[in-house]
Amino acid sequence: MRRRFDIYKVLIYALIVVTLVFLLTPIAFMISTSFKTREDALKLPPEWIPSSPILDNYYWLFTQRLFLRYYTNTLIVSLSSTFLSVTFSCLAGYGISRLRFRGRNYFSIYLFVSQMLPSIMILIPLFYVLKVLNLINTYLGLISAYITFSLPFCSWMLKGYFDTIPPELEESAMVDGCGKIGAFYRIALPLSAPGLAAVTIWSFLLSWQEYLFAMALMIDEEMKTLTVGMSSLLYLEYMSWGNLMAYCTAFTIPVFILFIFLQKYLVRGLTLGAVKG
Amino acid sequence: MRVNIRRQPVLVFILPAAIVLALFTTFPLFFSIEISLTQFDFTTMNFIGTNNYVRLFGDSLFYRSLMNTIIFTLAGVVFCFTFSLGTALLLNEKIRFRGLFRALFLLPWIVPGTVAAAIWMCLLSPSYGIFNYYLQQLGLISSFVPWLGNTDTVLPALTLISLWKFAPWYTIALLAGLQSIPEHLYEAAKIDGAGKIARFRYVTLPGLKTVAIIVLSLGVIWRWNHFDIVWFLTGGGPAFASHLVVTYTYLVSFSLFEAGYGAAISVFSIICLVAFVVVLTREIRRGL
Repeated sequence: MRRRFDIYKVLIYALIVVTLVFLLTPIAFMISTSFKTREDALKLPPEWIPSSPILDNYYWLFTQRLFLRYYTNTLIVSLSSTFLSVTFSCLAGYGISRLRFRGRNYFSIYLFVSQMLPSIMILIPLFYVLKVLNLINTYLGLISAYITFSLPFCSWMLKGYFDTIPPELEESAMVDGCGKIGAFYRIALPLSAPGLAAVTIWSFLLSWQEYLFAMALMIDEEMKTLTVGMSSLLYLEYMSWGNLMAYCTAFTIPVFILFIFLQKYLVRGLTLGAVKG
Repeated sequence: MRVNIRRQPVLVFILPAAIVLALFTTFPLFFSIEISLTQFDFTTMNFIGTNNYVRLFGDSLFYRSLMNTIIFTLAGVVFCFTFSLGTALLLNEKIRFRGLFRALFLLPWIVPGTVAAAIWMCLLSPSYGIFNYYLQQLGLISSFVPWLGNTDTVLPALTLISLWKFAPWYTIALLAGLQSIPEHLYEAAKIDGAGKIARFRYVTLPGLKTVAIIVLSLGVIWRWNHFDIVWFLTGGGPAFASHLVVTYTYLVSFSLFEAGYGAAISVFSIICLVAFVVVLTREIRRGL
């Protein structure tokens, strides 16, 4: 029997397509413009698929010494802060989820509240302290600030994950002679791998695109990150859109790649964190 | 001996996070309050009591940025929530390629804030922007509008950009909330004769309560402290029309080097934010 033509279903698909057009047009614009010459980029109506695509924008970009410098800086800062933040929040999340100790509730409230502090409020004293310690324009200053941003949310997310793993598994491992740390490392950690993936991409995203602290703490041209470097490399009023969008595409590609691989976990981790709070 | 074995691991697990947070949030918080009572340019510090706070209440630019922040936050969160509830309901339908759609919906959220700002700067351009072009083709505007250069349109334009960037996150969170509502509640409501709208009102909305509170309060916090898109695109202009408390604090502390006053603004701002979140949470609890 032929299925009934379902007007309701058609409406749903139509609305999804309209929303997708709104959400994806800017990204399509970015990619397509990055292959256009200065003149083609300004043409109206726009050519969504460039009729004569060029690679000059990318060639220009990757021969800029400063751009490569920004890229390296951003990679160093993001990778180290992600690594440290994931390590610390794993430990903290496990601690809150499993161990019973005095002040446990206070500690989890403390984590939640520190998420609310406006970063500008932290920036003013931190800038002064780093200045006194001569840590302005160093990786260390920025990395430690970024760990603080992602740590509270990551700990919460991982606590939610550890809560879903039955503690009996670790208990039986401990009966078999594992210590508490061994049980954490050998049992709980491997089982929460999806949660770890979610936390990793979350904190990487956060530090990859951070702007405020990077702008205040990295003043030296050689130490700037990609977010801050964008306006100094492409003097915004006069640059060509092709160059700018090539910069943007190159900037976004690492997070896109990470997203493609870890997307499933990110969605699950985010939603678990959000639903469980 | 036994006690020691039990206590040691606690420290191993909790201490790293506790130290980082103490050094980088708790200490700066209290230091901020101290700085707010001084005149401070990052080198010399003079105690001036509550003068900064007195100055705050007479500062019309501060009022302007506070009002902008409230409008930007409220409008942004309300639009984002409505839009995302709609899209979450769409994605919750039994459709094909749901996983793919969900991933595509999330894409704008992972685009870095400054990249989003740069893209929209081109899209909204007053001379070559395709946003203007398509609106004109649709007959909605007669000539190109300088969306970001006009005091009346700059905040709505920034709200649109932040909707584009942040709504996907709300969608995914709300979708998870929708999927956690047990199917049998809908069945029961159907048997009792509830229509689609009644089921939405009496099953879906109450079921979303917890997620809604979390999503909305996080949304308010994040948006209240929003910085990158606004600073990158307008720097608070034109004529202060898009200055938010955060951008104003940055301007005062790092361009004018009046960090004491900047700290006072940020202390006052967090008090407003906490009040805002508390009231909001209570209203949602009552409303749904």
